[in-house]
Amino acid sequence: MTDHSMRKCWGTDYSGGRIKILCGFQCFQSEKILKQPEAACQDIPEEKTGALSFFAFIFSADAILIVKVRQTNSLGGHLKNNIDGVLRLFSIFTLLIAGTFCSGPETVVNDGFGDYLRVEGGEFLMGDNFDEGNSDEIPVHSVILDTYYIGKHKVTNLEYAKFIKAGGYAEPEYWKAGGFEEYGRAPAHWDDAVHKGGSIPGNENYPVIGVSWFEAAAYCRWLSSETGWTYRLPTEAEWERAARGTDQRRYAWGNEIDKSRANYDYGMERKDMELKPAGAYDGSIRNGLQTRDNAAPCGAYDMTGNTFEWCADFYGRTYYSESPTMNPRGPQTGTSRVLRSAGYIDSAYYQRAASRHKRGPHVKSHATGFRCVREDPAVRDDR
Amino acid sequence: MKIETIKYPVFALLVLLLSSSVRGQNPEIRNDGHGDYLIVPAGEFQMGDNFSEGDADEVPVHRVYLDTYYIGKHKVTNLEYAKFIKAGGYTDPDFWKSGGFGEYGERPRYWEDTRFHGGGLPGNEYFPVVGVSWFEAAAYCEWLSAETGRTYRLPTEAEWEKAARGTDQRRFSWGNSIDGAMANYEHSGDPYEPGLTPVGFYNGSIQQGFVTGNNISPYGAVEMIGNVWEWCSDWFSGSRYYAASPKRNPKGPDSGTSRVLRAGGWVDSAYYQRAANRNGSFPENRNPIQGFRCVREAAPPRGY
Repeated sequence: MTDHSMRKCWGTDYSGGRIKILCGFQCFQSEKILKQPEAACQDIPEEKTGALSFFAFIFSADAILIVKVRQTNSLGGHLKNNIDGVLRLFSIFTLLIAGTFCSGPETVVNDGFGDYLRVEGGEFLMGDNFDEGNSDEIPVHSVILDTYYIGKHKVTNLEYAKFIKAGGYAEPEYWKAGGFEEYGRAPAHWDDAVHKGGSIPGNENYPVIGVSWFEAAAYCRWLSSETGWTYRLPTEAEWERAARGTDQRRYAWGNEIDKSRANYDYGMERKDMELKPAGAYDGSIRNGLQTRDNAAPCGAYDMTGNTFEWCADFYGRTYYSESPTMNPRGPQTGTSRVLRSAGYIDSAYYQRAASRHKRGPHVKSHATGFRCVREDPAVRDDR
Repeated sequence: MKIETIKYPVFALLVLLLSSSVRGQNPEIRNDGHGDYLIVPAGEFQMGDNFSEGDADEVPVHRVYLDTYYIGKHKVTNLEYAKFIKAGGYTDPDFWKSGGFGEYGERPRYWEDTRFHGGGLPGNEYFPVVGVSWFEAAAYCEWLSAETGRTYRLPTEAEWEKAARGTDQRRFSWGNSIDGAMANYEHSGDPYEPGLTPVGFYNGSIQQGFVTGNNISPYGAVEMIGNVWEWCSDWFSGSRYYAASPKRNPKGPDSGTSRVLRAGGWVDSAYYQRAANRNGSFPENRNPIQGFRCVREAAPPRGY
C-alpha cells in the first residue's frame, strides 16, 4: 500500500494558512479558514489502511468509555466525577496523539475533480540513466522541485465533459495561453466510438483524447476557476519526477514492462490495440487479462502507456544541458510542446519514463491526452 | 587428337573466366570495395500508403519518377564504419560539409557497448552500425565518395521507398504480410532478442535453430524492413509534403528541423515496419535504433 492512501484524510494542512486538526471522522478547523475548507475530509477512503483502522479503534473505544461514564453519572459522587475527568483527559490525550501522528500535510487532495497526489518537494535525477534513449534525454542532471500535487489519473471524458458543459470553449478567460475559438466545441473524436469518444455513454472513464495543447491548458484554467486552486499542466520535470520517483527506475513501477502492466504496443497484434479506461492496470482481471498495478511511486496511474500527455514546457532538444536546477520550466520559446508518457500504439522503447516527445501545440491525436497538477499554495505564496 | 582433348578444358576455362568477368561488370551491381550496390532502374513508382492504414503524413499516394541509382545491399556495418574511423574520418572537416564536425567525438555512441553490439568490440563486425547522428552518416558517405572516386550519399526518401518496395505497391519488401521469420522488430522472436540482428540474418536459412525468411526487396536490397531505422537525406516535414512534392527526383523540403528515418527498428512494432511508413528525428540524435545505408549515384562524378 502506498503511503498516500494511508495518510488520506488525516492530518493538518497548513496550505493557504488554514490549520485543520482531525478527530474521528470529523474536521475541526481553526478560525483562519480560507476557501476550500472541507475538501480533503469529504471522503473516507475505501481502502482503509492499518493506521486508519487503528485510530478508528481508539476513537470508538474512547466514545464507549465516555458513554459509560455518562451512564454511571446518574449515580452521582466524587469518585465518578474523577473518573469522568480522567477519561475526558484520556480522550483529549488520544486526540493529541492522533493529531501528532496525522499532522503531516495532506497526501491526497480532491476538489471534486479526481484525486491529486502529493509529490514532496526535493531533488531527483532527471534523464536517461540507462544510456539507451535519444540524445535529448541526456545528460542526466539534478533537478530540485517544489512540492506539487499530480493528478492520480489522466483527465477523463467525464471530467472533460464538465468543462464543455460549463461553456469552457466559449469563455476567453480560460484560453489565455491561446487557441480561443480555434478548436470548435469539443475534442477531436468526441463522437467517435472507435476512439472512445467522450460524448458516447459508457466512455466516461476513458481518458480524454484528441485535445490540442491549448485545450488541455484551457481545461486547467477552468478547473482553477472552478475550484479556487491553481491547476495547470505539469512541467516536464514534474511529470518525470511523478512518473518514476527518485530511484531512476525505467517505468513507473520498475525496470521491466510487459502487457500486464500498461497499455502499449506489445508488438505483434496491433489490430487489437485500443484505448483503455483510466486506471485499468490495478491488479484486477480485465477481459481475461490479469493486470498488475502500474501506479508510480506517488500513486499516479498510467504514467506509462495508454496516451501521451501534454506538458507545459516548450520542447528543447538540448534543454537538459542548460536547464536550471530549481523548478525548470522549459525553454522560453519554441514551436512544439513536450509530450510525455506514450500511446497505446507505441512500443516499449517509447514508454520509458525518461523518453521525451514533442508535437505542435495545435495537433489533436487519438492517442494524446493530459493530466493536471495542482500547485501547493504554500509554495506559491513563497514565490 | 591429344592436343584437342587438352584444348577443350582450356576453352571451357576461358569461357568460364570470360563469363565471370562479364558478371563482374554486371550492370545491376556495383562494388567499389565497400559492399555491393544494386541498380534501381530509372522509372516511376507510386509512393505512399496505398493501404490507407498509416499516418496522415503517408498520403496522398503520388507518382514519383526517379533517375537510375544504386542502393546499398546492406545497412552499413560496423566493419565498414570502422574503416571510416580508422581513416581519420572524424578529424577531417572535408567529410563534414553538411555539419556536425567535431561534435561527436571520435566514434559512434555505443561503439564500446555490448548491449547494442558496438563496433569497437570483437565479433560485432557484421552488425549494423548504430548510435550515429545524421551528420555522421552523411560524413561516412562523403568519405566513401572520396575513397572510391564515385558519388555516395544518403538516399532521398523517395529513393529509399522505391528501393524497399519496388513499383507494385507492396506493403513490405517481400510482400504484404510480416511475421517474426521475416524481420527483426519488437517481439519478433529472433535468437538475439531483444536487440539487433547481424545484417543478412533474414536470408531464408535456418540460423541457430531459427527459421528465417528472405527479407529482400525487388532490387535485391537486404533488410530494408526492420532491425534499425535508416537515415535519409531529406528534411522531414510531416503531413504536408506528399501533396506538394516534385514529380521527378523529389529531395524533400528546403528546410526543417528533423531528418527522415525509414525502415523501422528492433524496438518497433510491425506497424512501423511498413515500407510506406515515415518517421523523423533530429539530425543530432544518436540512439541504438538508428543506422543508415548509402546510395551510389549512377552518373559519374563531375570531372570523369
